Amino acid sequence: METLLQALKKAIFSVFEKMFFLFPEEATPTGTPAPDWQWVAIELRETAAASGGYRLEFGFSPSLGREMAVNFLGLDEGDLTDEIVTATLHEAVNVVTGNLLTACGRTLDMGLPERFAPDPAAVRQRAALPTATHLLVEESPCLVLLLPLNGGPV
Amino acid sequence: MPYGILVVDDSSSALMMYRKIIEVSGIPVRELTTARNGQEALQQLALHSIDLILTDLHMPVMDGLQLLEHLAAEPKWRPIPVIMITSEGRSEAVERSKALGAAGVLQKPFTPEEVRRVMLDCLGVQDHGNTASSTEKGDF
Repeated sequence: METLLQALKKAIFSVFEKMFFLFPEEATPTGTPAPDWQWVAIELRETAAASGGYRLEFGFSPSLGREMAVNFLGLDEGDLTDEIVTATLHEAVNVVTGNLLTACGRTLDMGLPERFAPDPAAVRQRAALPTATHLLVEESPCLVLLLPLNGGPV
Repeated sequence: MPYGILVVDDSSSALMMYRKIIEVSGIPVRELTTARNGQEALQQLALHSIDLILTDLHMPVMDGLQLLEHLAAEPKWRPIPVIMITSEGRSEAVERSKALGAAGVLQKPFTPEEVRRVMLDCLGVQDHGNTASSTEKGDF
């Protein structure tokens, strides 16, 4: 069975292509995400165990968020609002995570996507982890972090 | 015959997307109603004449499976075809949806054409047009 990280990357590429008409490429880390990035997290909890599971954190640069909303909804950029962009990013995280569960064959309970403001120091540290996925989507950066909920292996 | 359609999803952007897909589908619509969860959907069903329900599986307050259970328990709502929409392709969720009476299942991500086809199938309408199949980026 492919690892969770491999399945996550596959789900991201597939969903971005089919849902947003965008083609992400893996990129080398390019420093710390800017403060204006929008972050959405979702948790996956082991069904059988009370404590195990994972947390996925998705960081979207503002230009990527706008492009995803425009492509997803067929809107003009001038019609976008912050609410529309946020809702689109939540939907993206929801669909990527659902597809991840399908691909990895694990029995995990999926939570609901939530916007959050990360601690910049924590983001810097986590962005350097081997389970961090750095992406460039039409030159707009995106960072996806796969984190164990209770210090377990990924 | 124009149809009353109820779309249930907690994501406002998903609701906008479904509205656009339905607009370009060529399916005649009498009224398009939306709800943010299963509980709101039950309230809308009491107020509107609905011929087809598209519902997300994964929602707060009352999810798609719980909504199906309520519909199955109410004789006047039981005949309404329900399309369950899920981002998970896990067989448990799909099988449970079907067991509770879902007429169709759509897995995200999907194309507008896939949505149109399943809607027509659930409405028992023969497919004469192909409007949504030409939908491309930014061109709903």
